[in-house]
Amino acid sequence: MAINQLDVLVADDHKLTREMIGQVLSALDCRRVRYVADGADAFTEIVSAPPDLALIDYHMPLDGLALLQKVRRAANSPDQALPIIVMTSMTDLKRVMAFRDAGATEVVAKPFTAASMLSRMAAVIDNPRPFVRGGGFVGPCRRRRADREYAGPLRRAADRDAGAADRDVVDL
Amino acid sequence: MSAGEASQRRQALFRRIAGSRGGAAGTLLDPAVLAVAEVKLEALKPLAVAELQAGIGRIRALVGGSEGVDEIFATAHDVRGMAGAYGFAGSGVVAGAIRAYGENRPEGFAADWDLLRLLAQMLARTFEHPQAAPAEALASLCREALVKVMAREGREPPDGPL
Repeated sequence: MAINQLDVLVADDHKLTREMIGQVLSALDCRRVRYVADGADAFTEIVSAPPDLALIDYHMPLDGLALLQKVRRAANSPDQALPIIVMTSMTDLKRVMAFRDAGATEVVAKPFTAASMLSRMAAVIDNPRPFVRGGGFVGPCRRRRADREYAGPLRRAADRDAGAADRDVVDL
Repeated sequence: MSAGEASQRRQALFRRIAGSRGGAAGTLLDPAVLAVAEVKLEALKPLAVAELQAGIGRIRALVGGSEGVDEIFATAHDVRGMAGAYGFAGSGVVAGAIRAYGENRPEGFAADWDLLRLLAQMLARTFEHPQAAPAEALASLCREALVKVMAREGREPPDGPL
């Protein structure tokens, strides 16, 4: 089964939460799961060997947002397009938008269930979005329903503002 | 493996998984996989309950002594993140209210201990009787209390879910 070939990095400062995520992933028999307790160690892991997917907590030393920005923007980031799922119990719109604008691939609300966690992972794998670098943004395209075949004129104001840059895309 | 190779490997792996029957969703959300994952999560419940109990006890002790606001808010955050996963949705909401009260607190913040005592008491009750009150009702009560106290302190109440 190809799914068990996944190499996953889990970053959360709460030991039991790491164990909970580990139990969910063990149901998939993932080939390799690495666990770290803070963002700095997560970045070290990513530099040493980029995983296929990172599940990162928002609230930890070197928080998830800072880690996200580092992976997406730092000069020494080895894998800017790494799919990153941010886990948080702070799900107010402002914060979720901040994750999205920082380049989060998906957000999972805590407390999570096996289904909520695995459905986000499935979305990342089944529907990879084009990776955008430009217009002040680095991350997966924020338009979830973008038609990649569309070649017509751009009509939205936001398209006109950021259109050229947002077309500078690479596949995830 | 270089970053470029890692990225190519990932893309190839994702394509293989997505191209399998039912795609990634078909595999990851297979009822058999979910059932196994749920059983594995359930196995951690005794640990989680013990940790919740210890956290709530710690919050009550600190609030009782009117000390350790940083630890109160940090512990409430941990309780918030875990309680709902193990059937303590009400405790999760109340812990979220405690955490929300501590968010963006100004320099020299003087906590309203009456509010914290009330919330700590609610936290303990919802943990002892998880089915006694619906989480939505608790959220309304907590929000009402937060709005009053935080307005008095000249602070914005939380605008998202607790």
